[in-house]
Amino acid sequence: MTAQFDPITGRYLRLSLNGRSHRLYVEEAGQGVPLLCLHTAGADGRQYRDLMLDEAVTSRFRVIAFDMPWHGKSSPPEGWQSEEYRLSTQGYVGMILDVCAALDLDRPVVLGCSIGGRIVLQLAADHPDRFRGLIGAQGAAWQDAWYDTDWLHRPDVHGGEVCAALISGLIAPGGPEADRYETLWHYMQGGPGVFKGDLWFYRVDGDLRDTITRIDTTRCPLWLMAGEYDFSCRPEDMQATADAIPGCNAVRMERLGHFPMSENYGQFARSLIPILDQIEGSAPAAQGAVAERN
Amino acid sequence: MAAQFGKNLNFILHPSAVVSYEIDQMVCTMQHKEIEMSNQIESIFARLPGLFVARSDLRTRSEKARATLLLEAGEDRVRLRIADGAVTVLPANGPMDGWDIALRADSGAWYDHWQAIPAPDAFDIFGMVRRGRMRIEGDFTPLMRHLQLIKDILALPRAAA
Repeated sequence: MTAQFDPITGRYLRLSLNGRSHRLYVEEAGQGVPLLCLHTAGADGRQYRDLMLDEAVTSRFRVIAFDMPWHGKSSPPEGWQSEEYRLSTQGYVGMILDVCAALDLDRPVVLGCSIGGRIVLQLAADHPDRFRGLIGAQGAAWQDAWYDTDWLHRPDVHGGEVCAALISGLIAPGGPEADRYETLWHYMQGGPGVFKGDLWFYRVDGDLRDTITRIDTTRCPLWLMAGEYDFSCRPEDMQATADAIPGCNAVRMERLGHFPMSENYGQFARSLIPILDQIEGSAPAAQGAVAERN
Repeated sequence: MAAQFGKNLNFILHPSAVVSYEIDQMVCTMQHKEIEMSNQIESIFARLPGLFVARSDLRTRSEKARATLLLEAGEDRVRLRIADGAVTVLPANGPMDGWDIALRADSGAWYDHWQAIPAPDAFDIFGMVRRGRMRIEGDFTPLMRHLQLIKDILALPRAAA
């Protein structure tokens, strides 16, 4: 056989979310401790492809990324044409828990970025015992708006182009050009109003400054990370959140922006893998499971 | 003003006058550097059409674009017109020299924006606004309609650095 396939499997998961039928596109690679990856607003699970190809991770972790409904290969639910898409805090948490249950994930690690980096704080506050570790890349409890999201969906401006153009400055210079531009391509492909709908959680519904006071990191370890070129969730935004949570680990990343896993995975891995090492090292049951399979 | 006395008179001046003279010299040097930088920024703005012409991808992407920017570097200002697949630098001091949107920054901010690898506070025009290094004012529609094109044109001196 001459065809070369990446060692990534993609399937459609049938499940009900908030009482509505969905078909979610799920990719996974590797074996071991489940590592559930949450993509950024307006993008999809492709952002984690390089992570899924990293044997230093997939040899120990079962890496899973799903496209949220309305994103990537996960279509909107039936009836979408007559509604406005809005991601809520409650809906986002429910989706993550339902996906974990449907895939029968035993206390997974969750790695989220941007909105995904924000929602791990809600998971840490309300469901710490369900997770082995929580990692929020470009994650902060809140940050001030730097543009009006109305520009993302209006008839006189091309949505795909403006979404990508707005976030292009959040990608650090100097990374692999192909990866930086592919990150933009994901944004160019988003459905109309979807990025804006995700940001309803980020800008309106998901102010977690009060929520983080409930976080107990002794029940579930928490890491927050921020790339120095991200002027949306700035390193100081991340640090302020980390400082407000006893026991929270803060990692500032050089030469990275808002999309560390897709814009320059090699650079991101320098910060991520030591975190995964710590999580794996504190999970004897999971190590046993890996050994059993081997 | 102490600087008027000249360096060779320093030895007969009171020490505080010498300090005053030295500070004046520093300010003069800084002002001179600012003027030099300002001139450089103006000349870099003037080079944008030439840099643009050399980029066939930008020429193609700009075929349907239309926007007039006011580019301000400290006290200096020019207009940059993007229309009909071309970029033109125009004066901005006339009473009816209109523009759609203004990007205002000091010379140092523009200079930093054009470094081969700009620092985090100088890489992106909106990032510069967020970091307090630029103001963007006016009609945002032409800017948002052609945002990546405009960002790429304004960053052209970076590639040429």
